[in-house]
Amino acid sequence: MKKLRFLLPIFLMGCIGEDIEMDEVEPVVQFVNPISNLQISDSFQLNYMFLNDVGVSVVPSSITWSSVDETVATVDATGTLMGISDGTATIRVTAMSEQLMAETEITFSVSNQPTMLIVSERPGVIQTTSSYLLSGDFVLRMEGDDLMLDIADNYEADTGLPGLFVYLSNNPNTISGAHEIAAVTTFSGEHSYTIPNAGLFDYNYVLYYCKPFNVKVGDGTIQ
Amino acid sequence: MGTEPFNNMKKHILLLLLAVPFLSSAGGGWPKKKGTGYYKLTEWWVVADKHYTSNGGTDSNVTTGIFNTSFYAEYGITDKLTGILYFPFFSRTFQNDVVSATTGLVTTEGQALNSIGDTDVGVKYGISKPGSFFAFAGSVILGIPLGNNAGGRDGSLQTGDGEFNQMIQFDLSKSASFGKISAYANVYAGLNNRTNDFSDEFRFGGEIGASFLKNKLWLIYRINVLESFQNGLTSADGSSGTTIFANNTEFASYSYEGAFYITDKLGISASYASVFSGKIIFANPAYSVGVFLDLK
Repeated sequence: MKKLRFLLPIFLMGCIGEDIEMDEVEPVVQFVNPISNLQISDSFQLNYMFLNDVGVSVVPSSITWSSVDETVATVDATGTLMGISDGTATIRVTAMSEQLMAETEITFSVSNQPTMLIVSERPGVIQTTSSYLLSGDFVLRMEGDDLMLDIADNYEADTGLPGLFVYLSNNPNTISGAHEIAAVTTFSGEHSYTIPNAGLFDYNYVLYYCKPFNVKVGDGTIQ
Repeated sequence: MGTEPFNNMKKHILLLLLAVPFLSSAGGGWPKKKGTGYYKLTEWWVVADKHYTSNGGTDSNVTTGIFNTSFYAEYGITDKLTGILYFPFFSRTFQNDVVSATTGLVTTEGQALNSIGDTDVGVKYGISKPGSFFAFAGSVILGIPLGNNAGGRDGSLQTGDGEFNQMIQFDLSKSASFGKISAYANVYAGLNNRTNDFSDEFRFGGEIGASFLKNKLWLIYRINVLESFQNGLTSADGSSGTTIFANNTEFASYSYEGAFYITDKLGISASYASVFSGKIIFANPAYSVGVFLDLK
C-alpha cells in the first residue's frame, strides 16, 4: 500500500473545493412604490427595500426619514407621507444595518391632483460580460399583477452556449438570491418573459448565466 | 523493436479533454499479433476553472473536475484483427462550492456525480501487408453511452453524453531506427457519426515517438484535431441546453506521454495534454497516470 501513496493527491483533487466569488456591492436603500404626485391632505405609505453589501434585502437596524420642506409634505418615522401644500417635496431616508449604511431620496409634486404611483417602464441594455455574444435592449413593465420582461428585437445571444438562463437580481455579480426566470430558448429577436409575484422595483439587474459552467455571461442594469 | 514499435509502447491515448473518450490512434497502423494483448489501468483527470467559448475566447467557470478510472485493452484476435476496449468503470465529476468573498457563506453548493463512464468498443483491421513500407489500418469504434448524462441538481453534471456514436478511422504509420533509438510516426483521420442530434465530427492528427534506455522508455508527442460538422442541434434548437457536452465542440490539442517498462511486460505511464485552441471545451490541461501490462 505504501507504494500507492503517490496516488493520494490525485484522489484528493477529486474532492469538492471552494471557489471564491467577488460579490460585494454598495448597500442600497430604494423605494419600491415611488410616487410622482401626492395629493394635498392625502397620506401615503412609502415603502422601501434595504439591500445589503451582497444585494440581499434585509431589515435595517435603524431607519431615519426626513422631509426637506415640511411645509410641502411631511413624513413620520414609519414612512407615512402627508401632503401639506402645493410644491415640490423631497423625502430622504437613511437605513443602517450593522456597519452598512445607505441613503436615498425621492422628489415628487404635491398638488390637488390624485396621488400617483410611478408605473412607468424601466428600460435597460443587455451587454455581454464574457466572450459569448449577448446584446440587446429590454424593458421591465407591469401587466396586471405580473411583471413583464420584454426583450427587444435587437437582442442576440450565442446559440452555441450551453445552459443559458436569465435571472432578475439585485447583485450583478452572482445569482445567489436572484430570481430565476427561465432557461433561454430564444437566441435572437423580440420575446417576453412573465414573472409572477414580483414588483417593478424589486430588482435592479437582469443577469444571463451559463448553468453548466456556473458563470455569468452578461447583464443589464435596470434603469 | 524496429518494425513494430507500437507493440512495445502502445500508444493508447485517451485524449479526453471534455470527458469524451478520444481513442485517437490505439496501436496506430499496426494491429496486434494473434493472442497478444495490451492492458492498461489509467487514472485520467482534468480540473478546470476556465473554458474556451463558442468563439474561441477564454472565460472562467466554476472549478469543475472530471476523473476517469478506466480499463483499456487491445487483444489480437487474429494477426490482422485487434479488439479494442475502453471502459471507464469509475467516472467522477464535480463542481466546487461557490463561496461569497463578502460573507464567507456558501452561495452555490458544490455537487458531484459518480458513475460508470461512456465506453468504447471496437476493432482494428490491418490493411497493409507485413513488411510494407507503411503500416496501414482501419478501425471501427463504437461509443456506448453507459455514463450518466443528467446528474446533479439540474442535470448539468455528466459522466457521458447520452448518445451512441460510431467512428471509422484510418491510421498510417512508419517506424525507423536511428542507432540505438527506435522511432515511429503515425497520422490518422476519422469520422465520428453521433446520434441524438449531436454534430458529427472529423478527427485527425499525428504523433511521433522514440525509445530510449534500451527501449525501456518511450517518449511520445501527439497532436489531435477535432472539427465539428456543425450538423447537430444547437442550444437554440433545444438540444444539449444544460450540458457541458454541448454540440459543436472543437479543438486542436497536443499531449506528451512517457511510458516506462519496469519489466518486459509491466510498465507505467504518465501524460500531459492541453489545447492550442478550442470551442466549448475546458481550457485547463489534462493529466493521466497508468499501469500497463504488455503481453507479447
